[in-house]
Amino acid sequence: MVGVLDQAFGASRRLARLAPCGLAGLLMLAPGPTARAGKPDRSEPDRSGPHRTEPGAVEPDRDEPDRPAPGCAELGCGRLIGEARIAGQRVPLPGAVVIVMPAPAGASPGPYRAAAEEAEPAWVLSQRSDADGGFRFDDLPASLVRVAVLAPGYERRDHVMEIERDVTVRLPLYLPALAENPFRTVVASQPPSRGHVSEHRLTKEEIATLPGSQGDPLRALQNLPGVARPPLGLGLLVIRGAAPNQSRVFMGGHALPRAFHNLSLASVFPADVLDELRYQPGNFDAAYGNATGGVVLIEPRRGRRDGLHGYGEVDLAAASALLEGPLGKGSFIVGAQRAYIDGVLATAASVTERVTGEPSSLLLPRYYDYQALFDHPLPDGAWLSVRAFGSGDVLRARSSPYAAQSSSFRLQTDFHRADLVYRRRRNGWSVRLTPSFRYEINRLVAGSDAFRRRRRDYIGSARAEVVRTIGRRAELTVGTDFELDAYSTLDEQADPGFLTEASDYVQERMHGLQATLGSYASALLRLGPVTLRPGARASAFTVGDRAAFSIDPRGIVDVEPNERWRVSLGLGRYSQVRSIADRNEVDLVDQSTGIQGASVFLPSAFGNLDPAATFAPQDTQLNVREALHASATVQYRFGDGGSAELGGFLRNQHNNVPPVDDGSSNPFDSVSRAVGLEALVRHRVTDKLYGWVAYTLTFADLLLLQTPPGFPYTKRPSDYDQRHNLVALLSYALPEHWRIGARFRLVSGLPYTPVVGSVALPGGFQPIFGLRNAARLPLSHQLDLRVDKRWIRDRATVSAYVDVQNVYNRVNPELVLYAADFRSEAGYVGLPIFPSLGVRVDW
Amino acid sequence: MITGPRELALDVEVIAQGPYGEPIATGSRTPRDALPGDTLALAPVVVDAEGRLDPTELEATWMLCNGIYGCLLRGDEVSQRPTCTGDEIQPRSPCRFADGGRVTLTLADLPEQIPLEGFTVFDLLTGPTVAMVASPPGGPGLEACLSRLDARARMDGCLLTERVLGLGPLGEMVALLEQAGIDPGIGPDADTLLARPRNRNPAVEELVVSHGDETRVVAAGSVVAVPSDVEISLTVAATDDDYDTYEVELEDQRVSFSDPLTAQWWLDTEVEQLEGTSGELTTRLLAEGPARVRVYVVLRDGYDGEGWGWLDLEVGG
Repeated sequence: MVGVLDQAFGASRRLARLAPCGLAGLLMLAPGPTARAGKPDRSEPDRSGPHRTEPGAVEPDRDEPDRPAPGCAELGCGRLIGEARIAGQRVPLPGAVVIVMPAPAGASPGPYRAAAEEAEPAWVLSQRSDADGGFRFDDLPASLVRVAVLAPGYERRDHVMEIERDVTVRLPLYLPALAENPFRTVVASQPPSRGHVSEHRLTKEEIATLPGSQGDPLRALQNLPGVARPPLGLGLLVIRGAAPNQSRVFMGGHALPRAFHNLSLASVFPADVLDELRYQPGNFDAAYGNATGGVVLIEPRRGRRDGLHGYGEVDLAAASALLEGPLGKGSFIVGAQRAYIDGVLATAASVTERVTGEPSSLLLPRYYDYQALFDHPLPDGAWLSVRAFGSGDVLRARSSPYAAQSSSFRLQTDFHRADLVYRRRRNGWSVRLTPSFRYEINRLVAGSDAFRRRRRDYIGSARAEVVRTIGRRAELTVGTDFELDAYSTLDEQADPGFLTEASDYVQERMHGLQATLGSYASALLRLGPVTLRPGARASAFTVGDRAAFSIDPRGIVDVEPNERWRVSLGLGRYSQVRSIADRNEVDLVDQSTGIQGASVFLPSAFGNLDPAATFAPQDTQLNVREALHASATVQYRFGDGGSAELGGFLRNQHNNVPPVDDGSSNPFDSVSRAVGLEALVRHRVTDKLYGWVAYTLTFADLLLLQTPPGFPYTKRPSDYDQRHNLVALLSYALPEHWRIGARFRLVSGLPYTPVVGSVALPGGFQPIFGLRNAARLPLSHQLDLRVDKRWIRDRATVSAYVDVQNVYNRVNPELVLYAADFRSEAGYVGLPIFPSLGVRVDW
Repeated sequence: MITGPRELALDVEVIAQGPYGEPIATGSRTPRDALPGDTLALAPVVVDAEGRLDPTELEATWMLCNGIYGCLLRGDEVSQRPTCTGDEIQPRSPCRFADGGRVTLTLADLPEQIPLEGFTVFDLLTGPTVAMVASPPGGPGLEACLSRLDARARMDGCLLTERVLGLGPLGEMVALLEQAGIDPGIGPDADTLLARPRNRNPAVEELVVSHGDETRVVAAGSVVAVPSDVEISLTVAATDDDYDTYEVELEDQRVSFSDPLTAQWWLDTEVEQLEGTSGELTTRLLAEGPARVRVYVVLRDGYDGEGWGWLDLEVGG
């Protein structure tokens, strides 16, 4: 047996010792696909996906001669031409070992299952599949033969077929992957060229399988330290206590105008177009500005070139699809998503109304997004990418046939963006040039059509960056970015006389120009175990004829005494400009919503669930928030790619509220301060089991610098002061392509402004509010479960998932309900158990 | 539902007329509209599980503010408000005018100088507002309630209420201003408003009780036996005096106008209210006996006038 094994594979002695006796054992071991097949382009990081794992890739020995088949004169000969492909993806499988031998006695044509004990075949021929997965056997004796295909990491396939004299037969074989490896922690052996104290990355596979996140890339971030659990568990990014609008999401080097659809239900882009997602909660690089919280950096991936592929997915809220493949020397991706949750909610409301006879008023969200990406290699290792993507949201009030009045409320927010990206690396120089154009439109109709607003923005932006690598010890980056926004607004208010014709609207038009300009430089100096990363960014902000400037120095020190340990320290200044009126002007979140006779007042944190629709900047001064970031992290890397890290952070932000009209300083000028600890342990326990535990301790306050006389406080909790946040997450791969995941979350309640009493008025009670954020919601905890199942067929893979949030149906307080007279609390409102399910087909 | 001391209404009536306006005729309903110089009596209607609390047992203080409502939440310290001088109908800043559960307030005379530019009579009619802060027997005490209100701390056990003191009738207010040589700023199409007589408080004197085929008219304050687990309908039997109906000649036609009456219902026992918790003159209940259920109803006329009554339902077993 061992001799046959050596002859068939030229395998090493180590493999021979491992092989059990019998042909079955012989056929279950083979060297893996080698680097000789499909060598990737090394001039740019490989961004085609999915990445194929190459665990323990072994260079094979040279093939030994096969045991020859009988000559053609005896039986006559035929030819076999075949292809080995990965099941479910149709991707060629190069380097697979293909063995042809006589079929066992009694076998019939078709798929064949090897027996545990089999006699040695009379003859054996073998070869490896080529770069396209192809194999070819000429001069096979006309008879029943058995073809076996083996590759490490894939199930073997045996097939019996009849070879006829002078006939060529074709045989495609699809090999399913043996084990899934959805979790691949990126632990760089060298520090990345961009400075960071704490950076976390999520892969597409992780995003897809994390329980409770429903495959959404930005909601998956909530499982990492430093990211708070927002109200209702929706998709706001609250990073180290900073309000969502103080952090930014950059896609392809340009900031997204908003990262989430209506009510933060989903991100404006799907996980499938991402190469990787990097999250930096603070002390981020000088290349990114106009943010004082954290940043999320997303790079789109390139389309696959190994054939035409895609997917289609439906779940309870939305449907999405994607197509990708080669195009000339490059590749493309086109994808789209369309939500229909408005239809689902409207149907549920109709049913409820028919049962209860009471009108059911709802806000119905609907959204779509699309992406079109094209990448093409250029001479000298350069790459050109053309990208177009956009997002649209509509939020409208449902008109109930049972209601006395219908509502015309409708809010529509769209953006469309086109990017060009030129990248080149050569001789130690790396260049990135990326201009971009974006068109935005926001429309609001309210007050029974008595009030209309519209804003259009035409935004040109660009980023140019040059990186010079000097030997192995130094790197210098210089860059600039700008954004120029020409906006126009139209306000229409119905004449209070008679609302009959459009000409009865009073119109007010405005237009103007807003701009941000940044220049930055940073260096990387490796001095043995110490790496220094100094940098600075200069920014200018203008709105009309008003301007503001900032200079932000930043620096990071990394110390890596060995391969396992790393200590990072960071200190830097971060600026963000805000026009006073440049805020969410929609204010959909009503502060006095009644529910079933009780009343609820939403904590301030809910205000950020309003769609990010800004209409008129108005003629006010700019203020530049200036934040100091200081952080320190100690990291220990396990051998399996996991790690443990413990860090501390401080964010001290002067809000620079503009002076009052007479020029004196504003008594409500304030400092937002957050300090805390973050811990993360990320580990692959076995090949099938991975998990992590993340904990964040945060103290976030607002301090008034010049309290007016009689003002009731000088310091109060920030709207996002979430004291404790613990996430424990496990995912386990079961046989037959099942996967189960669980997430347990324990979170402190957010602050809220309590109602402390009420004034009795004719017909009702007026609530009296206590001090801002003087109370806190109770602790909440929940368990989320997710089950995934894949069916891998030859040409496609079907996946289904069930994701259940709040499995034990705990009422985690999101809102406080008051009795109708506000003299007592009637209870809490929280989300019940919430299942969702979806089906997806990949090919 | 009444589970503790609760302010249901505020009794406000003109008890002494000042120097202006036609003499107030006697009638079955108390006058509500007041002119400058009139004296009003104020007393809160506070009930608990035992019934109405005697107003004189409340530890209370009263304040006067300009404008409509918000008298207690203007941002200043209510515990430090000065005593009213009595020379302004609508004081420039909030002030305290009386202490105790039953108080009187004499409205000041017309201001000697009224800003002429843009002034209309409605500027006088938008207020003033009177507010009361009180502590019932066994409560935290008046001073504690005032300091808690200032500190925005929990005000459990404290009673707070506000009402707009309606100046009127409009016709007599306009006449007053014209006599003083001031253009009241009222348009030519205000005949219906000018003709409206002095408003009076509605009153709850009788209620109609129905269940099944049985309908009775009972006096407010009665005990009425009703069956258990049967829908019971209660309706305020409002009269013409409550509606304050008056007629105006418009384009050679006599047109009648009445007050829009609304009712607010309160119970001291947990029963199922099928409809009419607020606004309707009729409420429908489903009570499970045996039980005694006290029903309170406050009747309002849309012009700050209000009256109240109660009924005990003896729900059979």
